[in-house]
Amino acid sequence: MSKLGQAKRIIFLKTADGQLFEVDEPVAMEFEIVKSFFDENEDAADDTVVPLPNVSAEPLAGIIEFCKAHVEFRANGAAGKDEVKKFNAEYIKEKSNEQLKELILAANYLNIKEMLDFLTETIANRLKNKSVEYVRAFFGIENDFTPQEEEAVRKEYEWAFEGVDED
Amino acid sequence: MEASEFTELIPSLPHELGLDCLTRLPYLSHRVASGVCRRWRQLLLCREFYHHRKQSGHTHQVACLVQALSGGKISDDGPKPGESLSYGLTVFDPVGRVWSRIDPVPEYPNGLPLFCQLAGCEGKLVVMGGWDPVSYDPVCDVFVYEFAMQRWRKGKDMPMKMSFFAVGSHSGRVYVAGGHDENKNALRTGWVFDLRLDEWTELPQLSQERDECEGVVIGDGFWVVSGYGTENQGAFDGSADVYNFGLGQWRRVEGVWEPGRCPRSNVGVGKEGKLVNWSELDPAIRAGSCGIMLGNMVVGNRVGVSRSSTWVL
Repeated sequence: MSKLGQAKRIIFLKTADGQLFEVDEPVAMEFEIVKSFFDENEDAADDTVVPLPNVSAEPLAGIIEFCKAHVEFRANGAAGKDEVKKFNAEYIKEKSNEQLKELILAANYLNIKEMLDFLTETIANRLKNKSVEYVRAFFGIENDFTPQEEEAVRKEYEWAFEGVDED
Repeated sequence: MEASEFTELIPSLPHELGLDCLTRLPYLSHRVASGVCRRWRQLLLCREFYHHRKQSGHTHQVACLVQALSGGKISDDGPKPGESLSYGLTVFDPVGRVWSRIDPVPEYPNGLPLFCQLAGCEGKLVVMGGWDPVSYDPVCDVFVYEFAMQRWRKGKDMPMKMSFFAVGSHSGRVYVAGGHDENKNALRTGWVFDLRLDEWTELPQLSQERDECEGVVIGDGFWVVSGYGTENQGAFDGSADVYNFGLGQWRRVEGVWEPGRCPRSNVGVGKEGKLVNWSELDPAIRAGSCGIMLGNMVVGNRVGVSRSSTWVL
């Protein structure tokens, strides 16, 4: 691991689709899976490439962006402040539902607790005030109620549709 | 949680992650979400899910108030001459800082029984007892409101007619004690209502009759504070009986309340679990008002008990 006076250490990560990422050590160590890789292989050479067979390049780039910002926030003592909330809101704003799902799967594989908390919270927020049909389509969930059950269930939540978002 | 441990709640997401997403869903979205598919419905409606949300810090407290309604609005200026007030339930959600109205109880569409008691219990609100708003006869009705599903169901009737009793809740059960019967005899009886079993069970007797006492739950005890006996109408006592949930026994505690002072809606839990009187906390709280503790706000007690036509936070 990096010592005082040494150049910043770079960690090499290789995605499922064969892309090589060079990541600053503190950011890569946010990924529990990378951290334990080095914990278990203490003698690993500095240019060791960590394979990430379950993550492709696009979500990994997004995750690095998120973790990099959060490592800096912590270093600056800004954790939990409005600045962070603002960054998170901006970060997620441009992400489609599909991207969000890819991110959460990747963050789960890499085991990044802080990001997972943020992403599951985001998903829950996106489901607020949405119709049953929207939620099913969002996740690709099959409607497994019988027509009779569906009818009964529908009666129950019908008036709850007032105020449901159009999308 | 166990029954659905290995099924995916959200396709392609591991169960844990799907559960995390649903755990973070605000309770107001539960009703719609429970119509998505069988697995979601099973999860959202089960009691363990509530406890899971609570343990992981995703439940929050709301304040429930019985408030006077007038022409569909909450009245600011009390009843007009000759008009009798009707009461409904309002909820203050401190997270969104919003007030909302709960649908009327099906059997009392025009107003709740007068002086009914409220208790919050595992994401549900229990309304019990009180007087018929038209005939003023005491009633034994029990209604349970599920916040997540936003619906009422009828619970098993109270085992006897009682008014102005103390109420408190703990671990899926609502405890009641004291008050008076239909002939105005002060009571020293206590009962517990199990929400899940929909069942009433009698408790051991209080150390004395306690009409117009007030209930509050502190730690593992249900405090039945003050009150008076049939022969001492209005002479509020300084003692309390405390029911220990673990031991299933009452213990009498002296000198916890200012004698002569009515405890109704004024008992709160202060620092270190000591009893406090709301109306003495702050001169801004006017006489006759009532409070409920809401987290660390100096107002209120969980989904609590209160009666007020103008409560300003």
